[in-house]
Amino acid sequence: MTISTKKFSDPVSPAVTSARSAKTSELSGELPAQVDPLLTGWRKVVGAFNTPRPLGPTQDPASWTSPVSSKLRELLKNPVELLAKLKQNGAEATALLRELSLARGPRFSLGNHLASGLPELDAPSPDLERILAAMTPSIADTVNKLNANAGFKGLSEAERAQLTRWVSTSAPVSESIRREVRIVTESPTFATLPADQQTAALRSFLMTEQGLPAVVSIGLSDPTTSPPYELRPPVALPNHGFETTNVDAKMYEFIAKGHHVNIVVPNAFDDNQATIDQIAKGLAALPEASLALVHSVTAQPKTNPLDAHWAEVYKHPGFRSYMTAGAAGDVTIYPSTSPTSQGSLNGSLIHETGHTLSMRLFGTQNTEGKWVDWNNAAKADGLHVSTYAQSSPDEDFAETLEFYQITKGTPQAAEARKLFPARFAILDSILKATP
Amino acid sequence: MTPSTPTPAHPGSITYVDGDTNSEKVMPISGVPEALRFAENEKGTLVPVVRVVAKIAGNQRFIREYGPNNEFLRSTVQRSEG
Repeated sequence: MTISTKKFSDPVSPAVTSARSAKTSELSGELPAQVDPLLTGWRKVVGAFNTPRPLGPTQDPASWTSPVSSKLRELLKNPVELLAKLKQNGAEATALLRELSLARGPRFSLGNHLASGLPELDAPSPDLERILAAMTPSIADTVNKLNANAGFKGLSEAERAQLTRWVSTSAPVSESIRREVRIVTESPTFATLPADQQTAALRSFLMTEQGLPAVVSIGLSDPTTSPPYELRPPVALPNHGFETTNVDAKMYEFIAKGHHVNIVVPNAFDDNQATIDQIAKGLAALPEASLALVHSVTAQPKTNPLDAHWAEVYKHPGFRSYMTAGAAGDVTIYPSTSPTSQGSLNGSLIHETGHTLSMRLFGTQNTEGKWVDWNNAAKADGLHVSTYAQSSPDEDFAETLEFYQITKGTPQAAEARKLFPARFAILDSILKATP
Repeated sequence: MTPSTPTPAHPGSITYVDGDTNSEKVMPISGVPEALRFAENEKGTLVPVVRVVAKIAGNQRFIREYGPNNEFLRSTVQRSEG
């Protein structure tokens, strides 16, 4: 194997590149000058570790390395036990919360569990109290506190309007940013900064879009209804040849909005596999433009044999394939360690098939042609739906499409549109929806 | 993968991009499982996979496979087993 060190070049804005650089530097212990005040304060607030954290994905509990992390990693498997531990308060609970505050993904998804335990906490320490209070900040309280903040007053009118817009909707993205802005601005260190440095810290907050959830699918709840579809009686497939084994299976014909999709489901499988009803509901929940591109769905009885290859190549084991979508319209779903929720399946289907949709619509070069309109819309919106959406225009499209589709028809749709009006307008046009 | 067209020639290597560290590895095709060397494009034609990009977000790892000229071929989402 030849290993080179050249940088991967993808067409993202300079601001995002700078933000990424800042985040990478934070992880490796090097602080760029422009974000040093904020990050230094941030580290103190959360009880930053004395030793530099290793470069790596902090969102993944498996990568946390401190002694506290080991305990937290175990507790994360059982949120009820974690909550019980937190209720005990004391130094250990505070340390666990500090670790949680460094882990965006788990912190976001655990917010509801933590919030549910708030009333029962006894005499929390100042750190504990502040961090927990920041878990569920209201819009009005957050806006009022920002308006009273000297650093916020130092921002330009456009910057103030931008940050206010970010925290002022009921969409999950805003909720996540509200938590972050409260944790940052209410930290003791932030309070001691001169006004101009507070302004610089908030400007950095805006530049890096701090507080975004890692991915749109975090915290997705199951939909309460499903669009209509027809599922014809299955055809038996004795000893059907799957990727890794032969198993008796059934093939169903799914029909919705005039589109037909063959679904193959094994009669026996390892661990947990999506049911035929879940798969059908997932297909029915796709935008019609995406559904039109899907020809087949295969639920595999065994795990993806290629997982081992990727684990070796990327030197990061512990991941297991959940879903693959090919450009030709074939979707594969693999068994999971835990049962699949409908919301999660819908989100992954929308996202993964969204890549095929964007390629068909915009082409393969994501800085040319119709991609320019999308990228300009993203620039005009000034915010991404998740940190993952920041990684490239392709992922921005797939994540935004997922957010658009799962909020469509819900009370959150109008709120979500306030945050991403330009891109939602393009999606309206593509999907021929009524705003 | 069920090839629907004759297997074309492969350029000889796949570039693996780690989206978390922005680093690249170039792997000779001989070290890549056969099922990952080619994938169907939107027309159902088998084309060589020449670049794979992986990035972790939350408890998921996203893997994107591309052919020549950055043609999108296949996307996979993995989940942490932890």
